[in-house]
Amino acid sequence: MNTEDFTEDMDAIRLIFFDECDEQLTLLEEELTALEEEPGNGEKINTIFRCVHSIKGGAAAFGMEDLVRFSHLFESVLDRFRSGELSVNAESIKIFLKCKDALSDIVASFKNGASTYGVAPEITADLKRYLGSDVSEPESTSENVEMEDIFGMSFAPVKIEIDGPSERQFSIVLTVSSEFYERGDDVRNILMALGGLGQVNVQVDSDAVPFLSDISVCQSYLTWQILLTTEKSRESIDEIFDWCADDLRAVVTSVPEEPKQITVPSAPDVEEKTDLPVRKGTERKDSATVRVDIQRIDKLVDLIGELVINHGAIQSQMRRNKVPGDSFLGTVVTAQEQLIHELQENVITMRAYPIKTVFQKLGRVVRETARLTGKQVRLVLEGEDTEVDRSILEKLSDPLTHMVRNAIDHGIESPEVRIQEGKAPEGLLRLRAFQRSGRIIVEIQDDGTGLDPDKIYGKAVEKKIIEKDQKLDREEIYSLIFEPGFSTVAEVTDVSGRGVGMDVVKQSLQQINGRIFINSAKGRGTIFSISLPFTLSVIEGIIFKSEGQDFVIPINNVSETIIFDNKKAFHIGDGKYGYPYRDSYLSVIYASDLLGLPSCKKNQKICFVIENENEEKMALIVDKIIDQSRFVVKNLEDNYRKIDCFSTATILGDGNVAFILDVEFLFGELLKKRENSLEESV
Amino acid sequence: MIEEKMLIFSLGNQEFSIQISVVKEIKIWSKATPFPAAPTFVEGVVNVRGSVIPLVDMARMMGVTENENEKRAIIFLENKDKVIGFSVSNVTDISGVDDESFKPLPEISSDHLKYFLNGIQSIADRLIFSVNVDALFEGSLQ
Repeated sequence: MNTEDFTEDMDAIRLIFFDECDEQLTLLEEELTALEEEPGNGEKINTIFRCVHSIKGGAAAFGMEDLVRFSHLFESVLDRFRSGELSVNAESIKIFLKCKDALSDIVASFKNGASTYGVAPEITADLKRYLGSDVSEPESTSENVEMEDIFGMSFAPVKIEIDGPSERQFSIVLTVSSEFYERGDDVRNILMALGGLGQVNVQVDSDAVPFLSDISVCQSYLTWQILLTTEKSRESIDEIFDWCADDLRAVVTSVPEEPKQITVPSAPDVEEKTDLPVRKGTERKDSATVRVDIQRIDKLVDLIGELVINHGAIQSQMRRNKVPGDSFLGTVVTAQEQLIHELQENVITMRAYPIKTVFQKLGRVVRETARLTGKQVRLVLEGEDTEVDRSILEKLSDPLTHMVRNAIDHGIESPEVRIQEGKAPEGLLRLRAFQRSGRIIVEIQDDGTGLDPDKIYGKAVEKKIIEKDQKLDREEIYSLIFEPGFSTVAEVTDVSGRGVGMDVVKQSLQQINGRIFINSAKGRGTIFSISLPFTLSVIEGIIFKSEGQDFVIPINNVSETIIFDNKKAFHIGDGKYGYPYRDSYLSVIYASDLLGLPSCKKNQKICFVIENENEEKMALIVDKIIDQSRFVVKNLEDNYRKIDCFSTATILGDGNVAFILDVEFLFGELLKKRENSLEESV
Repeated sequence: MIEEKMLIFSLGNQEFSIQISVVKEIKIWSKATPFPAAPTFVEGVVNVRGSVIPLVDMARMMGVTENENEKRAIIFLENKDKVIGFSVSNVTDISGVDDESFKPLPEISSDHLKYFLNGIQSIADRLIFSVNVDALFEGSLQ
């Protein structure tokens, strides 16, 4: 192994460590929140302890002293709770949560390459209060550093703590002969095997190493002193050494067990015995998981996209050659289509993550915002396991953070006001995620003041967003808060209201095809519902022809398809047309006009009644519907830039590109035209 | 200036060159899918193995007069993580060009053309305009 490989390996291991830290921190947050619900649950404390412990173990292996020191302190405090010496109350959970936040800060700063991190003294002071005067410093990490030097490699966390009453400790002194290495064996294998039995603490005694001039390269001078904590018997240890027979000398002695201070014969304790040794929170999950590089899955999604396109090519060839659908070939191809769709769905779900990852982060936002604003907030999470495509999840975090801050800052009242209003002093913030008709709905609900339509209206007039006396219904007034430059709080606060506002939220949600709805009752609170697609890489759509060119329209924008009767279209001036639909009239857009082609009206036979997020409708007139299918979405901005009317494109079976209509843009254009003509008439 | 291999292509009767390191692929010209409100020099978009790539009529963008039906090839160039296809009349050859033969454009050349070109190179008795890739991409994305 040359040094370059070694550094790469180390970096890779480091990355894995940080990944694991993130997992542990997520679990930690989750368990702490659960503990809030039932403070007496010893099992939760155990899990929390293990999370902190495994972060500490990893940190020690990488020599991150500040992280080790803080997690050690935290862990010692948790141990007091675990043993039953102290009992959990609301106050202690608050401190734990702060510690968890501090822990994530330290991890984050180390991840970004820092080598030291100072924790806020008040947090350590809080912890130390629990410990009284009896604060033990963690063991120095120097022995691990030493090990790295000798092996040129570091392995699994090697720090140990005395973990459970059923375990025994063995002290093992290990020396190897030169034949051991000649056989190509490696002490690391032994250590790994011992690690499989329980937790090991290894110290290397290098005292016997002579000066360089006296060294014999074939000779082994090192002695390993191993402290093994395990539930396993003496035999299973001996078994490992039997393997290497005479090339190795191991003296195994049992360490007399320290008397445990307090043993609580409670149910969780029994649970603990069966669980130990658990070193990673992930191992506790019911189903096994595999860690795969996300790029590989992205590649897989792309490849299946290609497969779908390819399949389309087969089908169009079959049509061209007039192969009947009920022929053998036809049925096989149809069956294959089914399989490909299933494959595609499965791979797309591989990229899906539970929304939990975003929700958990918001817990911290809630706590900090509540602290800054002096409000009391109880956060309730629902449907955290709802899965969302990774690409959407990544872009969801910022808008949600903003909305949560807003809900606390503008929505929830201060405890005094709430008591006056006859509400509980503690405000309720509920985050809920669920699936509804193929879309993911995320709700942010607070029981605060609610939106005041009159106030919003007044503000909008003042900010010249709307004209005075403009008639708007309640929903339209609510949606004014998404207008750029709108903010209901007069002074700019530390928390929200920083110039960027809900308009940015709306924009970033639109980027991921999200829509947002508001439901509010004055004095009772507000619900923001965000509706998101499950994935951005595939859409269900209708492919149609206009003037010989193929286009795709997303199916969720089409509310109805009707036969277009040109005679019923009526001229409404300026080359524009209206069309009767049920008991109202729709504005008409000819698809050929979109392309700027001279339209040949007699070909136009189909009318799509299309609908935007505000449930406005208009009629889109096209020549012919070809098919309804699923289309792989290709971004135009990857290689070009945004273009009018079409946000994305897809590739058809014949290899040609077809544009996917951006319905929101069409409505926007229509609106603009309406405004322009208004201005002209004035 | 370091000697670099250049791809030589023609727009009408005039030969142009571009460094080979930015050339991703050369294909026979095919019709692109047009889109509305596109600049006149953008023919539309094409599919290259699953990527949607814009196709630019290079002669039209640079203001080099040329016959419409003379487009026979598409050169796909990669710059700053974007790939753009440029339709050209023909791809002639690949040649190493040394700095001695590299001369600035005459003063009277049009500013529009100067924007897209680095200078003039000569190989034997051929005069070749050297194209500036950055300018080409900037112009295409407008």
